[in-house]
Amino acid sequence: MRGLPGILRNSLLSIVRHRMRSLLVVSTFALGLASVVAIVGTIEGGRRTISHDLEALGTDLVALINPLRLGSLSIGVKTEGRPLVMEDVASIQQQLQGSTDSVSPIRIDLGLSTTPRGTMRHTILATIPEFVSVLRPGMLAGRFLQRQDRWPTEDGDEIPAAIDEALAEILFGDPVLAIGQTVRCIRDGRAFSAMIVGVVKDPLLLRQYMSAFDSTSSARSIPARRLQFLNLYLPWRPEIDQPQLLLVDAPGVDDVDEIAARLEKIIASEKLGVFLHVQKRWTSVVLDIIDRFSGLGHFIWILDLVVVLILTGTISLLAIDESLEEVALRRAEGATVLEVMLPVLLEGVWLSLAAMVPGIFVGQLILQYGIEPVLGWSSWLPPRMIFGTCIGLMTTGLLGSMLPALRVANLDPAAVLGGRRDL
Amino acid sequence: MERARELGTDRIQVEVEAGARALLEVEDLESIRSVLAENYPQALVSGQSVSGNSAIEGKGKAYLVASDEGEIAARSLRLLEGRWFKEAADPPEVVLEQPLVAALPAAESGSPIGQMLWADPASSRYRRIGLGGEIPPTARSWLVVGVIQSPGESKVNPLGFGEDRRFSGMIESALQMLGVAPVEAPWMTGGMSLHVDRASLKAAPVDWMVVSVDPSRVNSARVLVEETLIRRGKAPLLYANAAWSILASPELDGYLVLHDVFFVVTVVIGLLVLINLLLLTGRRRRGEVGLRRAEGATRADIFWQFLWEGVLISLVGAILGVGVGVVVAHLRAGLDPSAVMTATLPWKTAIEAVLIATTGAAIACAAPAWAVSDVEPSLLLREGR
Repeated sequence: MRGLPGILRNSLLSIVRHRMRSLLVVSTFALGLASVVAIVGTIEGGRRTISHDLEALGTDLVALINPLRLGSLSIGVKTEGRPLVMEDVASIQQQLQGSTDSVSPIRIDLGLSTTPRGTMRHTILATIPEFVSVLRPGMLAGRFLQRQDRWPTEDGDEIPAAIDEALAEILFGDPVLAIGQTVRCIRDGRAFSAMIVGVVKDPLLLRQYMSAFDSTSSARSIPARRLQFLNLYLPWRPEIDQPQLLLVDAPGVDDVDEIAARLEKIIASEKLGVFLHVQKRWTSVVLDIIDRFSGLGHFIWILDLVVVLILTGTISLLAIDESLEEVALRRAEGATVLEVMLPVLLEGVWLSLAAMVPGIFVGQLILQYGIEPVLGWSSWLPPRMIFGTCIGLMTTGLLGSMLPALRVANLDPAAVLGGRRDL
Repeated sequence: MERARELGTDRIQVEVEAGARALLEVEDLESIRSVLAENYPQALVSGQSVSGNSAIEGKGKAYLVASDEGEIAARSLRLLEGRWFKEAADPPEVVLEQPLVAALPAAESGSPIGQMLWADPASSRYRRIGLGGEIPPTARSWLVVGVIQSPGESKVNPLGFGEDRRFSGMIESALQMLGVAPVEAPWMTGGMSLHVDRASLKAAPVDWMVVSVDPSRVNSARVLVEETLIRRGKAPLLYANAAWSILASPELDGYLVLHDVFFVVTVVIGLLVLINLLLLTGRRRRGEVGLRRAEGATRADIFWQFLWEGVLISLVGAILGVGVGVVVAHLRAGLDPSAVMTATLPWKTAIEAVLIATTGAAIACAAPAWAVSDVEPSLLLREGR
């Protein structure tokens, strides 16, 4: 049989004739692909979870932060001038009226809360009811602070408070059961009792991972600790509290730049000394850093495929010796160089194709039973990446067959059939 | 423990944010001392107030550190000469850091010990510092009793990251994005500080506290310190060795499972390739096998020959792999040295890896070795080999 049908037939016959060898090469390809799938799934899953958590912090927020030392948390403008006070908040609220979802002053303190289950250090936020627009995941149970929630006039009375789900879980066990319960707190060195009226749903998927390895949490600036979502929310005291942070919630991500520009003008005209923090820009910078780290991870799977290439290439090179006489005979019968070369190349492609389904299946098993329970985040294989790794494997199979194919192409039928195997 | 102290794994540094409502005070120091004494009797606590408005003429800025007797032990400072100062001594005493001694105008004798160090506030906005000679009438003076090595020589920052590391720099940048700003305190690392008794200066807030405890108990001590300060109305930032906390974390054992998963996958791929190679080389060496069989070798002899070949190949490969790994690790450590990292040979892991690879190879090679041994000399003769 000559031509394309002959090429296809010969490449398949070679696989059938050497079943054991083909099976072992397919296994090598499949395991190589499985480890690639496991690496890619882990990296992409982690990246997606981190992106989710960052976006859950709110990409349409702009914050004015009174000048504490914040590291590089505040990507944006640091201005010189006087600190932001409550009168400025009222003025900004008025100037941005109608063009934002909310403008909320926030006071952030480190506090201690105690229940019969134990004591926990966490941030205490004092804010206004409009802050609820910032809480993307919404409420798990109960309600957020409302206008009627005020500090009591009598000492010893309970203060209405909302609590983050993760903190409620630590202090009360079941977060939903926190509603209506009282917690004893210390803020600013003073003790008080707070009654929980609502539980805010936890936006962070990486909670378990963060708590296990966040060994630097005690070194984090107090305003930044708000983003750990271990907060107790208390009502704002209009005549007493001063803002450490003013959080402006834009209607959408596209409105952020315009609102940031308007805030810049207000800062300049009022001569405020604050950080203008645009969460969208910060998220973008953090994601950029994560992309760089994922780039390093992707380098590992490329290395993995190169190792598989070297191994299968070596096997193919040794294996072709077995078929040299048969090839020489076909050349002597009139087969062209392409007709003897293409089946060798195609054999590598068929074997890599046969390895794809088992390779992806084993990779998924590794992810499901070996990696996900340990890392605590869901793996994710984007279709684009599955397609890419399969193409990568097929290219590996093709390249692995390249040397044997060249050997076949350069074969001298007369020399081989004459019994000389010194090629 | 000595190495652990050098890397600061026993240390917790405490400060409050610039602009915070409440600063740290001497009373906070006493409170932490008393809380830790109950739970961690070996803990050392020290507090420092730093004034940066001192200068040595023509040599730059110096830092006057008002401290206590516990600082030398709490910060693991290394005494080069003399002794640490005594509290309430008369005349008051001072300990100098070695680079500061080198920057001072030449002393009358080689050693500054026993000479008077003075600080004159009257001359400019900086307090002028001098050693020996005529003491200006407006100056305060201290008796030099000791010289210490510059603490900055350890090149490890309060979070335990090597300051000479590019990779540490990347991690620190990422931490800064998340609101963790590793402290920049030139008085701690610059070698230009002079340490005096707090009582010999006017009372000042405590800028820094340093707590030293057993490294294995740093995390629990940190919680206690933080809670104590919050109860006192402070919002502290606490710095402790991040790497040590992670290494001591029980969750790390779980993460090491990933390492085992990829080790197993790699070994299985290696064994599959080895089986394939043995099968192929066995076929190429059919003539040799037939000849040995014709000479009287049994099938078992051939089986053992190929099995040992497989085992030997994997043993040499595994040993070479360990060797290459160790060489690469030493090259990496040698080419880019770091204060916090040294390359060692993990004997136990290396032996385990070699044993697993070799045993796996012995099992994997059995089938191909048995297949190869199945050669009939008469068949080969018929084929004309």
